[in-house]
Amino acid sequence: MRLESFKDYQQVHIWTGILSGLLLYICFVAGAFTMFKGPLNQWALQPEATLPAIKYEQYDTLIKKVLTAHPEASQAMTVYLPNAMPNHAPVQWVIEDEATHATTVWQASLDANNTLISQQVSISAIGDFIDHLHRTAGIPGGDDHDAYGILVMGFVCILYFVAIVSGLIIFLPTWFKDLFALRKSKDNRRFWVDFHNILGISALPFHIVIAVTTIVFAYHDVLYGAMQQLVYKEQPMFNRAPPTNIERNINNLVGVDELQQAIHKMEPKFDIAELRFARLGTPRSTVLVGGVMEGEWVRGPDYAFWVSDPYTASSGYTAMLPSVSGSAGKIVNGFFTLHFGGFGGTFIHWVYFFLGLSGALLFFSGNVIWIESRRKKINAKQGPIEQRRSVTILARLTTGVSLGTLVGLALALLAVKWLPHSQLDIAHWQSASYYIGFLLCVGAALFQRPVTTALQQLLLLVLLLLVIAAASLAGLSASITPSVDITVALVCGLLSLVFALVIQHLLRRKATMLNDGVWY
Amino acid sequence: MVIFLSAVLVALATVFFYLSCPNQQWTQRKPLSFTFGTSIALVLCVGAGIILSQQFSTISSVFTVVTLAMLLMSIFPLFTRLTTPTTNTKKVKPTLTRDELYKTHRSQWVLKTTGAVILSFPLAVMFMGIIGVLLSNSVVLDVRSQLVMWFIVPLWLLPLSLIYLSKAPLRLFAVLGLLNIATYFILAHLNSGL
Repeated sequence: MRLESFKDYQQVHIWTGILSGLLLYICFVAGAFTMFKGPLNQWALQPEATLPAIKYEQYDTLIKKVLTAHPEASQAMTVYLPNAMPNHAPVQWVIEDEATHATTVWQASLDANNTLISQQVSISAIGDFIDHLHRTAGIPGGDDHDAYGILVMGFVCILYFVAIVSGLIIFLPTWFKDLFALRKSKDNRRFWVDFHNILGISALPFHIVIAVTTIVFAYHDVLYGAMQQLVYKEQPMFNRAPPTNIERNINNLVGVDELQQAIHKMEPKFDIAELRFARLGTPRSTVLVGGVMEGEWVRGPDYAFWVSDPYTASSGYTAMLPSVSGSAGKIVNGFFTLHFGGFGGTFIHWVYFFLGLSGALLFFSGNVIWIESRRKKINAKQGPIEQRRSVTILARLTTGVSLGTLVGLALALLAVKWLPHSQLDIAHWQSASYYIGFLLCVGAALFQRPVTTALQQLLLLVLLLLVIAAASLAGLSASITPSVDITVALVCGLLSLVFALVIQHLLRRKATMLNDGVWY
Repeated sequence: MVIFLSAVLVALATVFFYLSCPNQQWTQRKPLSFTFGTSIALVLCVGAGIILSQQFSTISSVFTVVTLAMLLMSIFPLFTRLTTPTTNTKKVKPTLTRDELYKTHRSQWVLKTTGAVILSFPLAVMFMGIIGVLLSNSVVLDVRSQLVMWFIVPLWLLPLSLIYLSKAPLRLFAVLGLLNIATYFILAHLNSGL
């Protein structure tokens, strides 16, 4: 490679990396926890806000009763079967105020006498909140589908893609010397570059997939628009099923069992877990059936999906089913499943959890390298030196954002565990606690030495994590999902141990740290 | 059990592969030759995949093994025993070359970036459009459209990522422009034939 190209690519990598790094860090940390969206939602449920579970056979009755008593639910309603979320209310629907976009959540179930219980609820859905954070990096504004944060992250991921390719290009000329080496010499920068290289090169395919899929998730509407303009013009790009002449009233809805039988003919392993009804009673009514298929090439993070007609259980849109999708469908589903980590059940969720954290460390180390390369060396003769402002600011920002994200998440988790959901708007309070934690940490970081910030906030984080672990174990005896509580406690315990070790390391390092105005 | 067993095999494969890598930092002397270590690692990974496929579908097994290997290869090299690799890399010649052009080189950031973004986007869209037409008719319309849409992004961004290697971006843009025109006419021809 020519030297000038190498130097150009160094610049490309540095600038795309530095512009995208911190936002990607937030998304990767939140994304790692999004792998356990369902379990975290369950973990946060409080008994007072939980409706009784019902038997599989009672679902048809419940669905009909809900639709009769609450016609507004026919617009969009989700049914959770017993194997979806053990202690979630069986039916839930969300009503959105068209003017204000404010939403109210309703749930329904049956009591012992088969009478309908329905109530407006305030539930936390902390998993969904973390997912939202994962998709938007916490940037507020916009609707759920095209939140500003999603559009920003789409652009950030274009930079991320360029950063990946340029990073590979600048790694290549010295790859033989650098591959998997981790040199712990006196030169700190060397260590961080090696660390960055190991994480980046080992997980290269993962990062490429995440970058490409995120760009598509953010800009698919733009891309379809371009395809329509440039390629398809007047031709349709999607099939709309022709309306059928059947009467669509509540009594004609097919039962859960009938849906299960219909899907079993196509996909024997499919285990129905969730039904999402939409536009019931209209010619465009659909039911999106989600089912567990562990170890299959499924479309969603947890479920394989099938779209059917809720009045006929006709075969509908089957391209998302692993056995029916065909090779073209498999490629499309592959993009989704490789982003969501849905192809290997819980095991892959854990692998993706750690890959997410390793990605976060990749971006963190990238920033550290940027700072380390630009800090001026202290010189005994010159005395105190003035560091460049960009260096000091980025050192502070990196410390604040990386710890603030974690503190914010920990505070949000604690809020949903401790605050009484039935008495206040918990969805509001969980996001408020995240932003309070995040912004206070970032704010504090800007005004003090990074090493002080790091020690304070790491200590805070360790304490918060231990409290979450304790709170999680405290409710164990009354818990419907004890395994989730124990796992949360274990993960929090382990993370606090890791952060405690980091504190210990920092205290030791602090003694020998140069007082040059960057970290200390 | 199946998952555990294959995870152990992948972990073993990663250990073998790492130990055969030139810069491993676990032992003073490299215990395995690269070819030998990598072959064992491959065999172990294939074994892990076969075991896993009893519970997972083939494609999921392959990707599970690959993903786990990626994760472990990010973790294992972080736990080192030696502070630096013991490989002698002095013999390795630097691959960076420097000639007369180095002095006159200009980066041309704005030109290269805007040119690549603007010219490769329609090319990617129309190229995938052609692929879409060529796909067999058995592919459902929705799936075809999605497939076409997905590949636009990598096809659009690869030229953008590689453009900075170019010595003569204008010449490259002329080629990209001609390719755009060519794909436009091919697509128009294919569409009219439908």
